[in-house]
Order: sequence, then C-alpha cells, then structure tokens
Amino acid sequence: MAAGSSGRSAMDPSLETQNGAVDRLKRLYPAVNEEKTPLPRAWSAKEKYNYIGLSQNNLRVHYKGHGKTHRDAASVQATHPIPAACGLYYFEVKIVSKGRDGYMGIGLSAHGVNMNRLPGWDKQSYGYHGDDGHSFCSSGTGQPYGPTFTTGDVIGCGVNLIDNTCFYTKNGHNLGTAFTDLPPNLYPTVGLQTPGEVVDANFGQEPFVFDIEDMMNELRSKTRVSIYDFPVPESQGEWQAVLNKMVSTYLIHHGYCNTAEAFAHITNQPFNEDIGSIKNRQRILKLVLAGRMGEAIDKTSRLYPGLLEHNQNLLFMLKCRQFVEMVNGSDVEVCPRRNIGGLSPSFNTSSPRSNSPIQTSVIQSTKSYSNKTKPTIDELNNQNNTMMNGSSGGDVAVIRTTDDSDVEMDTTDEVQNGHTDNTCNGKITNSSNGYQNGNSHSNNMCSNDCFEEEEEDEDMDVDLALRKSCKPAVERILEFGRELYSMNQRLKLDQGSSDHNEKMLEDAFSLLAYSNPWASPVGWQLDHAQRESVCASLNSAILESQNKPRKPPLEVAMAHAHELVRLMSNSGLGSCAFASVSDLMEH
Amino acid sequence: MLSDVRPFMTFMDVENSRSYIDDLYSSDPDKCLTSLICIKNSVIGSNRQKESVIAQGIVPRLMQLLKDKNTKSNVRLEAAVTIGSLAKGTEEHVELLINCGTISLLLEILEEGDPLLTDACLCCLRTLSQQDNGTFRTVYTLKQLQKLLSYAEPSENILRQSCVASILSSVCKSTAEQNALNSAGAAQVLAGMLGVCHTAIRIPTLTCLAAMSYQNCAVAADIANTAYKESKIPALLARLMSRDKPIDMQLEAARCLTNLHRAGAIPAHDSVVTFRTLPCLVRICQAEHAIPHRAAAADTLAYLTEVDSGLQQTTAISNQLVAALADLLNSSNPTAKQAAFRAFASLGANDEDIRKRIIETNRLMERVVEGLGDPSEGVRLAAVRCLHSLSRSVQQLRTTFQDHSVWRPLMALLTGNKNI
Repeated sequence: MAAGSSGRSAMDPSLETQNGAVDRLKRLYPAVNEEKTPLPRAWSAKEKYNYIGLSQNNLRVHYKGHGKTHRDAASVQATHPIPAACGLYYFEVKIVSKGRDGYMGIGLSAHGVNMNRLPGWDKQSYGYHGDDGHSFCSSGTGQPYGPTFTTGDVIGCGVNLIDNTCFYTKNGHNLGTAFTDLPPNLYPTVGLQTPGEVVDANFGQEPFVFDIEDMMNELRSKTRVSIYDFPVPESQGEWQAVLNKMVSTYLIHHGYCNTAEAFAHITNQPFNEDIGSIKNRQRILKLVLAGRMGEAIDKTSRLYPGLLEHNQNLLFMLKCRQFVEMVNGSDVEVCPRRNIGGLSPSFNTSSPRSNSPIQTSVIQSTKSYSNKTKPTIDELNNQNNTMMNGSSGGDVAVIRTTDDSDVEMDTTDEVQNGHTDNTCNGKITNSSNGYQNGNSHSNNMCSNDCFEEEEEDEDMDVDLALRKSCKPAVERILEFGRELYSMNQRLKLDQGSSDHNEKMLEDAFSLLAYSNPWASPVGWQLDHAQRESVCASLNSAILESQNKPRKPPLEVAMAHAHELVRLMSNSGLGSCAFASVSDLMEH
Repeated sequence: MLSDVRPFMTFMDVENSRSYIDDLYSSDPDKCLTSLICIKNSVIGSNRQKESVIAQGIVPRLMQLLKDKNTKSNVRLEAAVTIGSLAKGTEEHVELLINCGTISLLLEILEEGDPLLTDACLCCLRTLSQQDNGTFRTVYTLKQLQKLLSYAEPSENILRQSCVASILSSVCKSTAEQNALNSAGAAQVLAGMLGVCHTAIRIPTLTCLAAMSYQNCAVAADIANTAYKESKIPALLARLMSRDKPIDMQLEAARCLTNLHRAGAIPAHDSVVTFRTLPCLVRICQAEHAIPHRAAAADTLAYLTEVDSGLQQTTAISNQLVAALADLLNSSNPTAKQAAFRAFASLGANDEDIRKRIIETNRLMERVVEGLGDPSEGVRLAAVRCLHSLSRSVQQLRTTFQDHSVWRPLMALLTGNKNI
C-alpha cells in the first residue's frame, strides 16, 4: 500500500513470515539494537491519562471523558522512546472517527510530560492538530502548518534523527518540516479531547501510506557520499602508502606469499619478509583448510616446536577438528606401513620414510579395489594431474599415488599459492575425494617426508592389504576419540574446566550418533567453512609465537569501524543507521 | 587610433596563418594533416580564431576533404573534428555551416560505417543540433532517423548513444517531426537507453522523450505504453526521480512525466503523477537546492498544475511550497522570478482557498507589482498572468488590488507591450 511503489518498497516475500510485523520493523531500522533500545510497537498502558482507553493490542486509542473544555484533553505515549539509531523514524495514525469535534493531536513528547494535555502545548511536547491544521511547538498557541484532518485521513509523523527535525504527512503527501531542534528520546504521542474520537496507530507493522523508503534511500546515499568525500587529515602523512601497507600486511599475515611479493613490487614497497617462514605457514594453513589436520598438527610441531605444547587449548581445538575431519574422511592418517595401527596419527616423528598416508573414512566402500587395481592407479594419476589446477570435484578414490605424480605436483605449488578454496568435498558417500586437492597443496610435505620408491604393484598390494588389515576406520576414530576425551580430562585437571572445550568435544562426538552425519543437526561442523576459524586461530598463534601481531592492521581497522558504529548507536547519533560497514564493502 | 590598429592586426593574423592554411589545399596528405591539426588547435576555445579561419573560406575545403572517400582516414577524421569545433562557435558560424550543407554531408558519412569517423560525425551533429535554436529547421528523413536510432542500440558505445539522444531531442520541434520520430521507432530505442546505468545517456534520453511527448497526444500515448524489460516507461521514469539520483535527472524525468500527463497519456489521479512527480518537483523547489534547479522545478510545476484543480490542491496542501516559491521571488535571477510567478498563476487558477493563502503570503502582492515593472519581458508577462489568475477571486482581491495600486503598472504595461 506504500504510495507510488517503485517496486523497491514492496516487501521481499521471503521476509514475510508469521512474525511479519517483527521483521518489518527490523527491516526498517536495522541498526537498532532492540536489547538496549527497544522500538515502540504500541501505546503504553501506563503513560496515559485516564480519559484514554486502549484496545486492539494497545494500538487503538479512544476518548472516554466528557470533553467539555481543553482541561479534558488526554494523551497517551508509546511504550518506548524513539532510538537515535533509527536514523529516520516514522509512524502513522489513522483517524477512525473524529468524534464530536475532532480535536485530535498527533506528535511527540518527552518522558514525564503531563498527559492531561494535547501534544504540543507543554515544554518538550510537539503536535499537529486536526481541528485547525496548526502545529504546536511547546506552546499553547499554534502556527499555521498544514490542512485540517478528519475521519478517514492517515496522518504520518516522521522524525529525522540526524538533523533532529520532524515532518508530517497526510494521506501520503508530505506536508513539510514542522519542527526543528528536537531533543532526543521523544515518545510518539497522540492526544484526544472530545467523545467519540478514535484513532489507530501503525508503528511499522503494516506498510505505510507514505513512501518513507525513498527518503531513507536519500539519507543513505547522502551519508555514503559524506563518508567517501571525507577529507584525510594532513597529519596522516602519505595516505596512499598507508593503504598499500595495509594491503601487504594483510597478504603476508594470511600467507599469500607470492601475491604479497608481487604487490610489493608493483607498489614500490620494500619486501623484507622472510619468505621461507611465510611459506611454512602457508603450507600448514593449506593443510588445515584441506581438512588434513593430522598432517597439519605434525608439521606445526616440527616447524614450530613447543608452540602446541605451550598452547594446550589450541592443540585441543586442532584435535577436535581432526576428529571431525576423520568423520568427514578428509583427514590423512599418518600411519606407518610396517607398524599398523600402533602409532598415534598426530605426533608422527619417527622414521618418516616408512610412512604412507592412508585415507580413513567412515563411510568407505572397498568394492572399487577388487581387481582392477593397476589401471585404477593410472587413472587416478591422470585424474590427479588433470585436477591439479584447482578444479575440485571428481569422485576419485584416494589411493596414494606414486612418486612421479608427486614430483609433478610439486611444481604446481607456485600455481596453487593463495588458492585456499580447493577444499575437500566431504559429501561423497562412496569415497572421499578431498584427498586430491589436499595433495596438490601439501606435496612439499609428501615429497619431504615419506615417499617410498616402490613399484606400483607392490604399492597397491600393500596398500590394499593395509586397507584391509589396518584398523577399520571406525575403530580408529573411536580410539582417537578416546584419546581426545582423556586429553580433555587432563586439561580440566590442569586448567579448570572450560565450557568452550566441553562444547567442542560434545559437538564433535555427536557426529557419531548419526548414520548420516552430514544431514544431522550437528552436520554443520562438517562444512569446510568451519575450518576457517581453526585456520585463523592457528595462524594467529604461530605469528604470536614469532612476536608478530595476531591480527593484520586491516582486520583491526574493520573491527574498529564496526565498534564505532555501535558506539554511535549507543550514543544516540542518528547517522549510524545509514553507515553500515558491510553495506559500504558491498558497493 | 584603435580602429587603425585593428585592421593591421587582422592583417597580421592573416599573414601568420596563411602559411599553414595554404598547406590545407596541398595534395600531399601529410602536409594537409599537419595544417588541419594546426587549424584545429588554433580554433578550439577561440571564437575570434574561428571567425578568422572561416573568413578565409576554409569551410568548403574542409567539407571537400571530408567528403572525398579517397582521402586518408586520419585527414578526414581531423576535418570532421575541426568542423565540430567550428560548430561550437557563434550563431553565424553555425548558420554558415548549415547553409553549406554540413548536416547532409555528415549523415552521408555515417552510412560509410567507419567507426572513428562515425563517432566524430555524431559529435559534430550533436553540437550543431544543440546550437540550432529552431531557425534553421533541419528536417531528417525517415531513413536518416532510423540510421541515427541504430546508433543508439545497447551494443553501441556510450558516446554514440548519448549523441543520438541529444540529436533527436532537437528534432522534435514540430508535431510532424515528433510523429516522424515516433514512427521511426524512437520510443522503444529510448526506453532501452533509459535502462543503461549511465547519467550521460539517461539525461539526454529524458530530454528527448520530454520533447517528443510535448503537446502531442498520439506520441505521448505511444510512449506511455512502451515497455522495456517488463516495465513501462512511466514506471522507469518514476525510478529515475528517486531522491538519491542526481537532481538534473530527477528534473528531466519529472518534466517528461509532466508532458506525458498534459498530453493526456497519464491521468492526474495516477499515483505516478500525484505521489511521485508532484512531490519530486515540490521538493526541488525548496530553498536547499540551487536557484537554477528551483526555477526549472517551479516552471515544470506550473505546467503540471495548470489545469487540474486536484493537482493544484495537492500541491498547495501545506505551506511549504507557497513559502518556497515566495522565497524564489527574492532572487535576482529573472528565470527564477518568472517561474515562481507562473507557478503561482497555476496554483491560484481555480481554488479560492489557495488564492487566499497566496495573497496573504507576506509581501507577495508587492512582489507582483514589482514584477509588473521588471526590466525582463518574461517576468512582466509572468507577473501579469499571475495577477490574472488571482483576479478570478470574487471575494477579496478587489480590496487587495486597490491597496496595492495594481492599476498603475498595468496601465504602463498596456501602453508598452503588444503581447498582453
């Protein structure tokens, strides 16, 4: 019903739920934190004069006095004041009946204003009256403002909280600014004076007659322009250099070594970072993002000895994640060829050459490994090679490949730099395929530690044998789970119990309760996106141990901006409603 | 003394320029090109230089170079650009160029399809059409119009599209021309151009649509029914009037809708008129906007509300517009004053209540009387129209008119101006 709907003012049907009203208000005023500053949604049964009666969920107001003189005037306020974080607040009042004389007043008033009056007559009270069309600005004498209004008319009252002005509308037509220099924290107010007067309010639960969204868009674009055009103070020095540094520190922090180098080169910045250490971090992070937690933990402990020992909670988180990834089928269990099942997967420091990583997956069919072993491996190799350049998704079984392909993959390391989205797809029921991509990232590790120069046949036979004789995956997982549990107990003893750790453990273990973990209520853990927070924590920990900042300046600046907007909201600065950091990022 | 010096200096100019202008007539393309570039650089931004080279008669040579397909393309290109630069000169320059048949030459060259040359020719045509204030009445054939419209397709570059829109808006001076353009399929092409998210294209397109629909019922009806991607033109126009769009765009879109309404294609009670166009114009009349914008808005508003009393009442629903228009009268800009008087005239045409409010506005009658004696003729006429409109009041104006001695300047006007 919004007047002159341009299509934009029509509500998105997906937002229209049973709580349609709630969503509308939140959509109108997204920057308002209702826990701190609730929005007015109805008239207050407490802040009203006793000649006022409320009905229909406290949205309808009627007069029940005798209405002889102006001393019989009665008003009611809304339940809450208008939060500044609304930016532009608007409500409408429909005149259901003008009663005997139609002395209705619509406006705003502060807390504590006398309710035995019409809005606008007293200090900190503002109103527009229907009998004469005058506006009353804290005074008993009105100024001509607009037309009179009567039964059937819809009067809207809008408050601009950025410049503290108020305007009214009648049946969708803007009547112009009525008041300026308004104080903060005003309540929507309505006043009646003669019998029979009845009005209904719409605080946003229903579409408005007036097109308020157009005005909001204007304020939004004005705010955006003032943000973009804001002058950089002279004292900031070389602005461009600052921006360049922000970008390069971000790249280095997240391990995008080659990109950082190239960027430094193009922007004529010095690049004095230790490439080796960045690459180390990069490798570890890629392992985490590929879900190969076992290898990641292993590598971390080798490259940064003592880090995990000193940070047991971090280690616990990594292991919980490893557990989840085992369920997912993407964790590589580093288990020795000769000593099957004896060694714990995480701390694999002995005889690196004797290992060949094996995929352990909960739901894995061994059918494919019946007779066509050799061609399968070839096929796998080919597929492996062709999938090198970042396109994941083949349903390829995950037998470890030979040396050749390993070496080949090595050279593509450069290509894969900065590519963090070649993640494993844990959703395959038949075989886990994440291995391939993880492979191409972690080839360094593979070529470093464990490869055996054995013939394919033997490999295959042994692999197959291993697969069959290595502890069945489920058992392995359970065993790991037990280790995890005992670690948790140990941590509780050492550090006291941690809700966070408990929850992580519980969530992780819950996955085993379902035959199809991916479709379960705790299945969200198996989503690759969950690896990112683990990755970030590990990254920050490594950097911290090297005496580097935990967060790059860019992220600090973003967080700072968000906080400032929140602070604006709490301090009653209206522009925060139109200054959303995420909106700006999108444009 | 001075008058003696000037011919001498002109002589000197001629002497100085003769050398490179001579090369213009050379058959060696490189010398010709150098000469062209020199001439082009010298005439840009200087009307005096334009005068000078035109007086030396280079225009026929330029046109000859341009026309000849055998000439090297960079020479032809420079010739076209130079002509375009000359076209930005005074009215006499433009007249001379048009009389030499420049326009038909340029249109011929468009047929050749050389991309750079086409761009240059379109720019030149645009300049000529913008300078053409109606005295030359260039008429385009249907084929030519269609050719021009073909350059407005979405696949064409932005420069071409905006040139075409500008050219076409100057083609709509008479009803016949409007009809011709419409039958060439302009409405659909222009609707497509409205969809392009580029101000340089949208604004000339809006101007063109407004010009096409001005007082032409058939064309206006066609335009109002044309759709682009499921949205009819009025809906597209409504979107372009949003508050976050540039003011010029809002104004042109409002003007377009106003013309469509006055030509009968959209009724007054349609929400796009009452709830989009009207508030947009009222808003731009407010004091926070620049005077030229306010004047344009007031003018369009005057035209919009000239006849329908419902629109008049909605516009005057509150005092915000009356106050803004009265404030406009305070400016020294004659266009602004003229627009304000016209708006008052429209608003007060039918409704007594509105008339009362206008008259009671502080110092308004004094302004009207001043306006009757204003040096600008347009302002005087507008003031008289305003007075005429207000004088329809039966009840109160006689005393008001008496009070303000309106008759004095009226007499002066009657004896002075034939148009009243």
